[in-house]
Amino acid sequence: MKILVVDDSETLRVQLKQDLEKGGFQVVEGVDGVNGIEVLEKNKDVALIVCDVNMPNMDGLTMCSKVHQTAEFKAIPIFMLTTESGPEMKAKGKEAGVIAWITKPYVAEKMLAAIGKVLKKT
Amino acid sequence: MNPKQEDIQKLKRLVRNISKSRLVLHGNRSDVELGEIQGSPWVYAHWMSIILVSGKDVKMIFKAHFMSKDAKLLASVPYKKASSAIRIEQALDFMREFCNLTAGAIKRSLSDAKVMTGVSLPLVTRGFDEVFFQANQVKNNIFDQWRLHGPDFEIGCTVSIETFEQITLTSLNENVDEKPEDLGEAEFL
Repeated sequence: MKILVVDDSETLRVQLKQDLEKGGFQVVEGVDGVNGIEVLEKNKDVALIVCDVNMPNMDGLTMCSKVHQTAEFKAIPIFMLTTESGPEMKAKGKEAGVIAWITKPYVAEKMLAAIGKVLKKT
Repeated sequence: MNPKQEDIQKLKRLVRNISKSRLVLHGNRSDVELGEIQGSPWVYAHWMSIILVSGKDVKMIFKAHFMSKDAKLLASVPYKKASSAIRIEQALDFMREFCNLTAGAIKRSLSDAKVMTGVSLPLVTRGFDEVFFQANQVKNNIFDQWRLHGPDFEIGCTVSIETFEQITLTSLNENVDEKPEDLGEAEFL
C-alpha cells in the first residue's frame, strides 16, 4: 500500500519513509501542499496521507481541504503530523477531512499501529 | 505591568528545558547536557536557525547557533548515515526542524498557562547575521543564552523575550514532564 508523506522538512520525510517502509508501506513524498497535490495526482493509488500543517506555499490544512473536496481523493484517510496541538487547529483539521492528529515528535510504532487500524477499516 | 521576576526565570528555564528535550527526541540521543555560555559573543557560530513564537502578550525569538560539523553529526542519527555523508542542506534542515519542535512545545506550554501564541516557519541563516539582530534588539527584552552539548557536539541557544500587556505566567509549568508513553499518540477526530 502506498502512503503520501507531505512535510517541508527533509529530515522528517526521511525518518517517516524509513519507518513506514519498515511497516511494509511504499512511500511517495511531497515537500509542501502544492507539491503534495501534484504527487497525489500522479499517484492515484495512494491509500493514506500523512501531512504537516505549517509549510510554505500551501499549508497542510488547505491541502487537506482541497484533497477532501476532490471526488476521486475524498475517501483517502488523512493523518496530520504537526507541532500544532490546539483544539481550534484540530477543529479546522476535522473540517478539512483530517481523521487523526499526531503531535510531533512521533513514535513510529504508535503511528504504524494507528495507520494499520485505519487501513483495515477502508 | 511587567511579569514578576520569578515568572521570567521560570519562562527562561522552560525554554532551556524544552530545547534540551527536543534535541534528545529529534536527534534520538540521550547524552545531551545543558551548559552556560560565558560572555556576550557578537556571533555565536557559523549558522543559526531561527523561529518566532508570538502572540498579543509575548514575543519570543528562539535561535540555535551551530557549526556545520555539529549539525551534520546530529543529523547523522535520524538519517542513519555517517556524518561525512550528510549534505549541508540536510544538516540545516535538521536544525530548522529542531527549532520547529522547540517552538511547538513552547507554544503548548504557554497555551496551558492561558498565553496564546502562534509559531512562524523556521529559517536558517548565516551566524554573522546576528550582528543585524543585535542592532534591532529592544533594550528591555529578556534575554537568555545557553549551550546544549554532548561528548562530540555543541550548539548554542539564545532566546529573546518581549512581554506586552498584563501577562501572567504564574501557572506556567517550567518542567517538561512528558512521559515517553504519552508522546506521539494518535488522536482520532
